[in-house]
Amino acid sequence: MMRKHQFAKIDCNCTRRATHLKCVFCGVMEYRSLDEARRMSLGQAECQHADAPQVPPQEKFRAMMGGTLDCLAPDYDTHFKPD
Amino acid sequence: MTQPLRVLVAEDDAVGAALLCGLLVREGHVVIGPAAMGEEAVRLARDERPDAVLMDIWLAGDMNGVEATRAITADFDIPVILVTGATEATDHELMEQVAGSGALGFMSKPVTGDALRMNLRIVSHHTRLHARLRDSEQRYRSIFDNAVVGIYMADPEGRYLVSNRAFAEMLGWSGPGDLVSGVRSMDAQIYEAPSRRQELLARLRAEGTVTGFVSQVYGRDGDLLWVSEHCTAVYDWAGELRHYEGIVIDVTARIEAEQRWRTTLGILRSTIDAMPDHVVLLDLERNVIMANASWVRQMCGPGHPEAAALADMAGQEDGTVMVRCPDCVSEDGGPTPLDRFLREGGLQSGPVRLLPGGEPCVCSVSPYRAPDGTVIGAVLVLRSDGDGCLTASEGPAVRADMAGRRGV
Repeated sequence: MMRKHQFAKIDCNCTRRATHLKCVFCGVMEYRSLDEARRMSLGQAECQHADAPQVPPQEKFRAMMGGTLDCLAPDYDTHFKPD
Repeated sequence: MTQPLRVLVAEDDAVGAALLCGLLVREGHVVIGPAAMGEEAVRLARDERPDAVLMDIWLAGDMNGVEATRAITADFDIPVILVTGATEATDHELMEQVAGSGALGFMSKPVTGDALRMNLRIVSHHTRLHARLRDSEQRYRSIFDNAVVGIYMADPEGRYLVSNRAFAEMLGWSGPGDLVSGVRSMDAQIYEAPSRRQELLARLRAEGTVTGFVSQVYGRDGDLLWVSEHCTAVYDWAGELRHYEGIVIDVTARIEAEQRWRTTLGILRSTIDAMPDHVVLLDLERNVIMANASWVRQMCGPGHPEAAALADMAGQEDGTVMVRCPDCVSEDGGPTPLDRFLREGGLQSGPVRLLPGGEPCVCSVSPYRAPDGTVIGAVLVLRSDGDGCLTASEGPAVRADMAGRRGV
């Protein structure tokens, strides 16, 4: 069963001070917009972490028919922000 | 030393005029005039467009300095400094007129070099601020006027205060002025649902900003269109809603596309629901992607372990419920057509018996391909002699009935 990344916003420390996305499970980082994280291809979306959520069969099937997978974590705006 | 200015002097007294001109020249400014009459001062202001005007209040001719100041500030937006020997103590009424004349400054006679220098410095500062303000106004006015999205400002009572061209054209009005004067009540003339604007106001009062507020609105010609509004409330000092600003996008094409998509999906569902056979689309892990009403009715029967989940899945357009295809056994005891398909691919068929219950039927399995030709699933058809054909209208009822039988 395929699992998918759950990306949340994180501010990097480089000189650009860019916002990028980090998977809350496997920690992989992507310089992508929120909209891109909502529309990822099957290959981009797959997460190997055992705790990552499984992709529902219908969503995976739609992705194989040309659709996309939503990989934005529900708490994407606050997950990595200090309280 | 202030930046050299071009200064119009309006003074009917030759000695006073010479004194003012001398002071100005000594400070490095350029003198225009002097004008002895108010009318002449207005004409020179119009023709020469000076940076500032030094205006005596009492001038020769029919127009005094206060009247000339009003004309120059209103028509040409040139800063005027009034000069007079009168004071509040000697002429109270005149001072009242001076205050409302639009003059930027006031100097008492005799004018000293320090007073003149200070007043002209204020004029320079005023001119710079004014130019910056005008530049900023032009820039934002250009963005406002040329925006492709609609922008408006409206009061809580339901009248537009300001609109840009795009918004007026979106609603079919000839221009912003036409829209602002023509719409007396947004409740009656704009929103299709009379309470829609009140809902927007209630949310604005509660949240301050409302995004993606989709409504059906009337154009001027009576056409209905769909718009999505992004609104921000603006409050007065007492915390009362003074007005609100909205950015509007015409989403009619999107909403109509969604409606067409739902209609097409409805036709597809009705069509497969009308088939007497049990039809189900599976992925290669035997997960149910889509099924017709006949299949749902069969599989949601009493005693089926996944009945509730099957019923939920059947009613969903964006299903996220995972349902495995129920098992069946081959009549000859060998692998079922689905087993053979998953092992060998291609078209497979043969007699099977459904579990539990044991209803005999013929099973056909055909490959389902992605746009690139890859097989990503299978369409499984179970044909039995039992059930009759469902009409298109019966399909949704069967799905709803099954969804209500959670946990049977």
